[in-house]
Amino acid sequence: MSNILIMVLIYNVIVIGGIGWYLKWKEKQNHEVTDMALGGRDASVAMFSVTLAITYLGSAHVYGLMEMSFVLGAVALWFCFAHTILICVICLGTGRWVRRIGSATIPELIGKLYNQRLRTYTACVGAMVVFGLVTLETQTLGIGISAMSGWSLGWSSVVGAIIGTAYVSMGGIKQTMWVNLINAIVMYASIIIAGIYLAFVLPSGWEGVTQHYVSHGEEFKLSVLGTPDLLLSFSLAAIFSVVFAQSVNQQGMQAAMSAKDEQVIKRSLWISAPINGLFGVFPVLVGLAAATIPEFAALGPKLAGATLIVELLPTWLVVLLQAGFLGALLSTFAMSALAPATIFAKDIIGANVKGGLSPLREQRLIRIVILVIGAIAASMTFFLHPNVILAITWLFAWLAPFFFIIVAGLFWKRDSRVALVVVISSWVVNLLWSFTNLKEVLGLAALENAHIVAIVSLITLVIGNILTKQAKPGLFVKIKEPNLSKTAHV
Amino acid sequence: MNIAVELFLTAFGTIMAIVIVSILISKIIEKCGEGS
Repeated sequence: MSNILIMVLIYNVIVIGGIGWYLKWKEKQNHEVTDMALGGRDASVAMFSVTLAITYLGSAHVYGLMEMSFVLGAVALWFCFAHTILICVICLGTGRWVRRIGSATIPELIGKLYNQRLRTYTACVGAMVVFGLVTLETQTLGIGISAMSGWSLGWSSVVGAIIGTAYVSMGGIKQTMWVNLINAIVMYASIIIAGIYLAFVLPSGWEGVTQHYVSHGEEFKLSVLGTPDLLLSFSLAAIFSVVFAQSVNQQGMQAAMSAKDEQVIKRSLWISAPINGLFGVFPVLVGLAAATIPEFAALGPKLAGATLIVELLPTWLVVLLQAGFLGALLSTFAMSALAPATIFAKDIIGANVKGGLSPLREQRLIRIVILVIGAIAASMTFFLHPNVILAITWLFAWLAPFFFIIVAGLFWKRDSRVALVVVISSWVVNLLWSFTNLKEVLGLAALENAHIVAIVSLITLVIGNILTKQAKPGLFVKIKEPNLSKTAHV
Repeated sequence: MNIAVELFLTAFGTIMAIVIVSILISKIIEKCGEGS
C-alpha cells in the first residue's frame, strides 16, 4: 500500500473516528437518542453553510473540472457558477420553504402539499434516484483510492464504500457536519498552498501556461467567457440541469431541514456560495496547466491533472490535498447514503406505521438501511463502472418535476391529479428519451434528459393548473378575506 | 497578473455578483408578494 494512501486513511480514521466517539460520549452523557436524519434541527450558520457547500462538491468538481478545463479551458468555471446559483436558490428559496414547513423529507413535503399517494410514489422514485447517486459516489471514491494505491477500481470502490458507510452510520447528519467543518479547513488550506506551490514547480510557471495558449492561438481558453458558442452551450446547459434537479434534492434539503431556523439558512448564503464556488478554481488551473506540459498532456484529459498533482507536488502536500479531496467525496457519499435511508425510514415505513416510529427505532432503522445501501452500492460498483457524468445527468432528470410541483404547490395552486400527471408524464418522457430513438425522430437530439423533462414538467403543470377547477390555493398564498389575511398554515 | 490570480479574482467577483443579484431579486419578489 502506498505511503500516501496510508497517511490519508490515518487522517480519516482520526477525524471520523474521533468525532464519532465524541458524539457517542455526548449522547451517553445527556441520555439522548441521536437524531440521525436532522441532528436535532439545531445546525448553526457555520455548520449549515459548510455542509451545504461541501455536499455539492462531489466527484464532478474534484475530477470532472480538471478534465473539463483540459478540453474546454477556463469556461469550465461556469459549472461552479451554476452551483453558486443553485446555492442561492436553496438559501433564499427552497431551503427556507422546507424549513418553514418543518418537513423532514421532500416526499413528506409533497405529501403535505398534495396527498399521501403522491408522497409514496415520490418517496420510492426519489429514494432509488439518490441510491443511484450513492453508487456513482462509491465509484468516484474508488477512483480516488485507486489513484493513490494502484489497486483495481472494483476493490478500491469497496474500500471507499466501507469508509463512507462507517462515516455516516456513526452519528448521521451531525457527524457529517462536524467532519465537513474540519475537512473544509484542510481542503482549503491545501488547495491555497498547492496553488502557490505550483507557480514555483511548473516548468515555466503560470506565465508559461499563459504563453502556451497565446502562442497556440487558444487565448480563449484563458477566459471564463471562452467563445460565444462555448459560453452559450456549456454555461446554459450547466445552469439548467444543476438548478432544476438539485434545488429540491433530498441531500441538500436534508441539510436545510436540520438548520436551526430560516435566518440561519438565509445568512449562510454569504459563506456557502464562495466556499463552494471558489473550490473549482484550483482543479480548473490544474487542468489548464496539465494540457500545456507534453508529458502530462499525453496522458489525456482524465489522468493529466491528477498525475500532475502527484508528480510535481511534495508528498506532504499531496497527502493534504488527497485528504481534502477524499473528505469532499466522502461528504457527498455520506449525504447521498443518508438521504434514501431517511426517506425509507420516514416516508415508506414511518408514514405507514400507526403512531409512527419511536426516535430509537427510527435511529436503528436509518443505521441499518445505511449499512444495506453501502453493501449493495459496494457490490454493484465492484462489477459496474458507468460513465459518471452521463449517469448523474440521467438521474437528475427524475427529480426535475419535483421542483415544479413544489413551487406551484407553495405559491400558485395545488391539485393532486395535476401533480400526478406532471410526475408520471415527466418520468415516461425520461424513459422514452433514454431507451428509444424519440429524440432523433423529433429532431431534438440536442436536448438532454434534464432539459426535456423540465420542459415537459413545466408545460404539463401550467396547462393542468389553468384547466383544473378543483385546486386548493398554494400553501403560502395569502387568502384575501380580511380576517384570514395571514399566510395559510399547514 | 498571472492566470491563477486572474481566474481567482474573476471567480470571486462573479460569485459575489450572483449572490448580490439573487438577494436583490428575492427582496423584490418579497416586496411584490407583500404588495399584492
